[in-house]
Amino acid sequence: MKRVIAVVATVMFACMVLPAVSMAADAYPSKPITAIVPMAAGGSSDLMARAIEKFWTKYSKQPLVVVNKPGGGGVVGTEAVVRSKPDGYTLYIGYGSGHDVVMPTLQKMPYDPLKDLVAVARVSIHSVVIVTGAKSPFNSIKDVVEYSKKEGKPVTTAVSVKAGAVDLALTAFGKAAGVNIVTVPFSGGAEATTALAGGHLMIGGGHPSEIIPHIKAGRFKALAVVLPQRDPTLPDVPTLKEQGINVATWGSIKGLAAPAGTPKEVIKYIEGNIRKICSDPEFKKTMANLNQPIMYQGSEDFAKFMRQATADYAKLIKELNIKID
Amino acid sequence: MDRAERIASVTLVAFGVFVAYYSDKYLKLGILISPGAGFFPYWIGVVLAVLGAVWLLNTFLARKAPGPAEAECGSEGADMGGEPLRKRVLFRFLPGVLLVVLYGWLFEKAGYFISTVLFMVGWQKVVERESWLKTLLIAVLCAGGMYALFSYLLKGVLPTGTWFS
Amino acid sequence: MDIFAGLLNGFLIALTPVNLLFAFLGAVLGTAIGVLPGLGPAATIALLLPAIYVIDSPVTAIILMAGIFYGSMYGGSTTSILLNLPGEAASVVTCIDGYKMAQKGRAGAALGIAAIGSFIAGTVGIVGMTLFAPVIANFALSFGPPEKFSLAFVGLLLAVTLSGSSVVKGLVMMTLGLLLASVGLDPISGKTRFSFGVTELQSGFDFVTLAMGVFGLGEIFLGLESVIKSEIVSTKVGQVWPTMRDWVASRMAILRGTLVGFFIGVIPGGGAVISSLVSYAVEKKMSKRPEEFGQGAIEGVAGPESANNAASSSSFIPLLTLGIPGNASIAMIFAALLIKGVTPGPFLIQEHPDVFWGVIASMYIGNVMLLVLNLPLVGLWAQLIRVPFGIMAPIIILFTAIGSYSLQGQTFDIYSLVGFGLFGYLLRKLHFEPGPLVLAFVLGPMVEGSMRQSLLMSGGTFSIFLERPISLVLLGLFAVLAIGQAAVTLRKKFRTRTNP
Repeated sequence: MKRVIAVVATVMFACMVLPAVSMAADAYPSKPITAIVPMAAGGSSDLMARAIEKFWTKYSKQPLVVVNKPGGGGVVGTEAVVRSKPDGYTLYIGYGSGHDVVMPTLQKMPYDPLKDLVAVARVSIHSVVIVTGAKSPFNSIKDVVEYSKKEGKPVTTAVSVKAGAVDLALTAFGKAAGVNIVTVPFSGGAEATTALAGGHLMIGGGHPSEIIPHIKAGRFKALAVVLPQRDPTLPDVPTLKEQGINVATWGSIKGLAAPAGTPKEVIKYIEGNIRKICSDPEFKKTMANLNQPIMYQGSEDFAKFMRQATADYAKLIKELNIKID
Repeated sequence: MDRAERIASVTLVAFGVFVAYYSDKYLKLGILISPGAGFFPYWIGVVLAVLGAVWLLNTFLARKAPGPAEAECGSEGADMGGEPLRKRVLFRFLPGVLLVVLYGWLFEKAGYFISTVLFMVGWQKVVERESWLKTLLIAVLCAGGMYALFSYLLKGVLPTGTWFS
Repeated sequence: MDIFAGLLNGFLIALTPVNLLFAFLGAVLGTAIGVLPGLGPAATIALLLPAIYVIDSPVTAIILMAGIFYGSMYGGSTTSILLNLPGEAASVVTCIDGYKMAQKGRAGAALGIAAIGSFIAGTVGIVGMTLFAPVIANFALSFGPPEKFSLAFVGLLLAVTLSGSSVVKGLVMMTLGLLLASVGLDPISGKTRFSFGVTELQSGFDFVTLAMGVFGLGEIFLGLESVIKSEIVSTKVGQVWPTMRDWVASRMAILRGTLVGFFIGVIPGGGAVISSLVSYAVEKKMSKRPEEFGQGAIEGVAGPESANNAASSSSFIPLLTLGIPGNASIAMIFAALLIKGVTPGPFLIQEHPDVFWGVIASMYIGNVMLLVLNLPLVGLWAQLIRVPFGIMAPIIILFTAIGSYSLQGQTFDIYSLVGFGLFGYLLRKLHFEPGPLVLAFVLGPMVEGSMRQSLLMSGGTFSIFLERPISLVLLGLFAVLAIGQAAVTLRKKFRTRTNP
């Protein structure tokens, strides 16, 4: 009896161990790819990632698995990607968000978003929209500026994360227009918009994806969009520049990135897939439903764009002397 | 028991002071309109120190009224005299704790199946003093069962062992 | 649309074979992951999303996800009662009296009353949802940072009442819990706190590791050190089902728990945990035998269990009516719906009435399924207690270790688990109750975050907490109760001193 058990145990042992040893080097991708979204579930980045996740299997044998790793305004999840093996099985969706292009100029970071990550493809740009509650006395940016000048009281502003794209856009607006803006950070866009919807803050900033449903429900009024030109998802909303305030930012850029050192063929493969997905009519419909514009850019262009965007933000920060302690 | 509580309460006071100090020095306390990262922990440290002091005080006060607390302490773990406690700690508690630590250490290196088997074997033999037969049986069944259960749900997550790849 | 017409239509949709199957699958899967530590409903739904996209009908998809969500609530209570392992934050309170009941051989009664209470609460919650959704939703919106602070703060102080005898020790636990919660990145300032250079600490400790360690491993380590080899096993199995007396005692607890859970559960952020706390405190206060609480009072299981189930039903309300997700699992469901082209929000009833009513109807059905599934299992689970410590303990350790590891794929989590286990052991030796520690850990971020947000909003004055009506009411209520309680206790002490 003892011997039988010993034999059975050994056989089970072998069955478990051997497959691990004999893992041959198949062509990429030979197993599921993990895509880390360093933001909370349900936020604009997460939604975009899930849309990509859904359509990925149309163009690849191996699935893309989206994993949320929120924390630290995006730093925790992104750092996880930076430190992972550059074999193409760990990707970052959301590259170009506030913590990649804004935070490095304002705070010390445990990694360099431009050097430690490789831009793979850009999918969308989430602009910053300044909104206010439907019952609020403000109807345009001018009203906000006048209020501040007349009352001298601070304007409480809901923003998604500290030192993120939204925070920066509103702080820049405040400085440029001479408005005393007090930004109140929350843990993500969803929480910030909820607080704003409850009327607890005077104005707030968010992305079209988060804002438009509330506008449609009659809870928000859009005051301005902080892009150089109008946002295609909100064609009726004037930009800050149009309203006389010389502030424009790129908002939150959303693309894919891989850790530095990932092989070129792997990057080409992912880039190609993303391009196919972005041209897919079903995907376009899904993104339109999410109120997110598709703005595809390939790996090299995207890398250039990222450097440009970081420089633009740095310039804005320096000009307006923005400091976030 | 009193002595243990006294030591613990003094440690708590010291700990509270440390936390408050660290919060003040390394994390900003900020101003009231915008409390910094250290604001909350600072007050936590202060409260802990105060509570520790109160606790210490209570241990002195309780002594004057010998009540259920003392009786409880008396029967705690020493019901058969001091000796068996030493033995229990050495042969069950310590090995048990060490086994889990070892499990953690081995987990990624040897892969989770082998670590689990070794853990079960170690536990049954050292902590429970079972026979080799029963030990192996339990170990294999458990590891196998859990493999079936977890592999299905947590496919990519469980390590197969860096020693082998 | 007429409510009854809508509901009828919803039932027609929910009762199709496909949807019934998925409701059942969701319930089973949910219960399973509720029992297993580490994997929570949010993570499970995330893992299953690719499969969910393939499902054609959004109704079926959300039925599956909803099933997983509240199924996990049922499963979480099971491990809380049997093994003192809280599956998620809302089950921590159940551990306190539930586990004690199990130790006394009354596991069956505890499990049974938890299942029944959960069913009643869930059903009532759904009825409430059907009738009052929009009103409740707006109520939820009115909870801004100051209100959240007051609510969470009251929750914290209520957690201290769980400590049983010593208020000082309870406060220590609560404060330590807050401290543990502040380890890691601070969202409001962006700074990392107390990481001391250890990378893994940058994201802070995880609830699962902390709770499993302090509750589960702490208990096991204590058992290792005690005389009897099989300390965890109770010598008598006892009654497997709740008795008539249990039922009578629990009736009101269930009712009160349901109400508490339904209203507090709507609030995004901490609804279920706080409602279980409030329910426990309410039951303790209302009971004629408050000394029993902490020793195995069945009301201490019935109330909180009903509360957290009512809360999970009502946490769907902000999602369905406003399009606002209240917690991680609901956020997953939110994401899935959006991807499938269904926008949760005020227009959901108009644009996709079949989704809205179909989901509500399936929640009724799901609750019934879970009851049917869990009640017969109660007998089976109760037998689990008989498994000798020598086998049960290492298995629990393995489950929790693997569960912890699977959260982030870090060995560090296994080490923290052991660390917390030793800490939990120490706490028990020094006569501390771990409940307030774990609860404060969960509520800490909400308390601190809301406080700082409120101060930013008010320009640095604390008066904001008293100016806003809801906040004032909450704090005022608590102050009244606390003072009342203190007066009673002082009077008792005074009396015993004068009558030696």
